[in-house]
Amino acid sequence: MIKRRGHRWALVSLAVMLLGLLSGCWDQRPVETRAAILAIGVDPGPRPGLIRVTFVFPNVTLTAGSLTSVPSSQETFTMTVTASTLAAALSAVQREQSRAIYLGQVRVVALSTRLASRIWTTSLHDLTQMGTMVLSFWVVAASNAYKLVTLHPPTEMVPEVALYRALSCKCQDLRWPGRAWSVWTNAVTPGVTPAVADVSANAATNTFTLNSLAVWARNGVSTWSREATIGWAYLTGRSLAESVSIRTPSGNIANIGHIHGTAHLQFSGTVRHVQLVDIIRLQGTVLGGGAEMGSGRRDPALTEDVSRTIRQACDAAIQAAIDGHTDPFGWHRDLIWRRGDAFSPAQAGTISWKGWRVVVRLSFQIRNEGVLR
Amino acid sequence: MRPSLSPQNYASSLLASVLAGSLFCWPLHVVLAAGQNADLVLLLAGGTMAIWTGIVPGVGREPTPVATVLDGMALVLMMAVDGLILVSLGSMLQTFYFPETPRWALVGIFLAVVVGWTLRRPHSAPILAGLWIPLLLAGSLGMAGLACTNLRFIRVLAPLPTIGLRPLGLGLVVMAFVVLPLPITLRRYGGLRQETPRWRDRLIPAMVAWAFLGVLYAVVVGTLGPTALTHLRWPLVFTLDQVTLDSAFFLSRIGLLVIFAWTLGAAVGVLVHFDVMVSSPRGIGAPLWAIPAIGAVWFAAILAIPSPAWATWWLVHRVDFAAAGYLTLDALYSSLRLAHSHRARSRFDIP
Repeated sequence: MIKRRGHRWALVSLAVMLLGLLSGCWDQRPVETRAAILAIGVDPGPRPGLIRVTFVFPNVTLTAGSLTSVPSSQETFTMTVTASTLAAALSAVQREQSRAIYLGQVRVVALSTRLASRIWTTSLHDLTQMGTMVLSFWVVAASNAYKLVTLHPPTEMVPEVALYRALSCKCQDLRWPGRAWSVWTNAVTPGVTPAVADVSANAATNTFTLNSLAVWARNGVSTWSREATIGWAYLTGRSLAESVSIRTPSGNIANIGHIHGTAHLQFSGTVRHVQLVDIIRLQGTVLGGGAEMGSGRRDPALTEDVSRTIRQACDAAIQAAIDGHTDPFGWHRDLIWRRGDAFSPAQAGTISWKGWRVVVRLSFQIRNEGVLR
Repeated sequence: MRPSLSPQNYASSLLASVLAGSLFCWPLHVVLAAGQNADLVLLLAGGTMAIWTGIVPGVGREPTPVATVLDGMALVLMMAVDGLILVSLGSMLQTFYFPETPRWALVGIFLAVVVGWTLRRPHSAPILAGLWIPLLLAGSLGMAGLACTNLRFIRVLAPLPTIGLRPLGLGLVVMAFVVLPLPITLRRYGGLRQETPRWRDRLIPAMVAWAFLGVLYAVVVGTLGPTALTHLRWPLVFTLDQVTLDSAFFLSRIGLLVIFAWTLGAAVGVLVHFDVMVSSPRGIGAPLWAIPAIGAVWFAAILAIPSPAWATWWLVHRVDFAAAGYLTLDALYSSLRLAHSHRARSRFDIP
């Protein structure tokens, strides 16, 4: 009996010890001593080699009751530091902040298009290697990152970065790239150029617009035209609700909207001469204008015109890629993977379109929505 | 005298034994060794596991000198693999969950629980496995379902037309530390069943473990691609980390929860290995005092091993080759015995 009781005491003391050890009490940070970063903006610094990093924090003095009375510009506060890398900026802002920096809630990281692409690479690499950071935030490009992350769109009631919502929802015309983990994946994979959304901020109206693609090559970040961006979306099957306006023979403007569809690739050819067929299947709806509206019949001429516009956009995208020696489509990567030499060091070079022939096979269909708008 | 194993506990113990530790570093080293032929390696390993379940006798074998040496090899290698995996497990916990807790403390707690439990209830491992492993499997499969929204490269999962024999062989050798505990667990736990486990009883758990590894492989490679995953130390954790439920604030890192739950799976796996070590229906069985001794050796190893990268290097470049050697020898011996017993049976048991 005595022996059994001894065992029980040993068990109880072991359990008490484990409860203390396993609770993680030594790693805990109460929420009021934490400073969660919502957004990070990176701009060029005063001297080459330096960056100016803006951190956006939620205003912790806000209560649920005071949310309506406080202007939206006071829902967050910012801190700006100058450092050589993003990792150094994080430790600098931690020195200035009385509370412990928390990186688990970062929603958007905006990088300036005026930065050298080396800084883009190291910034993203720093964020990935930290381990404590979840890479589900969005990476965007902006000419002035500070202006973008300090915008306060009036529609947002809680301190939540509106840009995150705009990018995460499927309400945009095209599915923008830029989830941090996939941008990082592309940055370390040969044969694909990382691309993110280029966002322009309008400080007067406190709004932002997502308009074009920022393609991040070795020699710098270039912003594509709107037409090339839409072409990229068609070619990669990322078009969700694009629209095209066509002037009909009768002089009206017909609007074709909700253009969406899929894209499939077919590779053929030899090692030196690659033939790529991009099979795009799209469909759209007549939204308004034109004599075709009420009749409900399909007009082959209208389909033809829309197809031509889509083709022009695709050609613009391919031309932009060839001109910039970039491949935001990931076609070079797909070819490398299909051939099975993903790990050969020869593939780590720059993108070359020499010997490539890209054929776009497009089928476009106008669907009748059945109702007049 | 211990009670006999129910079929469910038998299956769960086999799963725990195979999946426990290997899960965390899956599928990095196979891809590093085999490149894009890793899917073929996985297929071949599945085939090998299926054959294993056929040739391994279900009830333990005659304690001949050869069998004793082979069993001893299996146990020593299994303990070496577990110790090296514990080092990287501690490092994973430190990186993602307890950044300010030293690695030896994390592994020390883990060891205290596992060794203490084995000394107190040496044969409860199959019951624990029967409870936790199905739960963990279901949770992980649900998680893998959510992670499918991030799948981008389905095509990479298809086998390549160009097959490199050397990468394929190396990949199979890397897989050895995953398959290593399978034969001895099959044999020793099979002997504890009331009725001899049929081939089906042994095949299904092995194939479930294999399919589970296959699903995880598909999720990781399909999300990151074969190149990017080689830049990460824990590709599986990274992949599941990105599964976000934007609408649910409190569950924003649901993937990490599942990974953390698997530390429990690892504990159950080590418990099963300890139990396999001390319980032996036939052949050599270690005495119970060996368990705290092994715990102490592991703890000393954690203090001595400078970095988890070093431990992984040893696992992949040294222990794996020994494990592959053992598996080959054991397969040869088992098939010889099987052929012999068939011949004996056909000679004497003519109806």
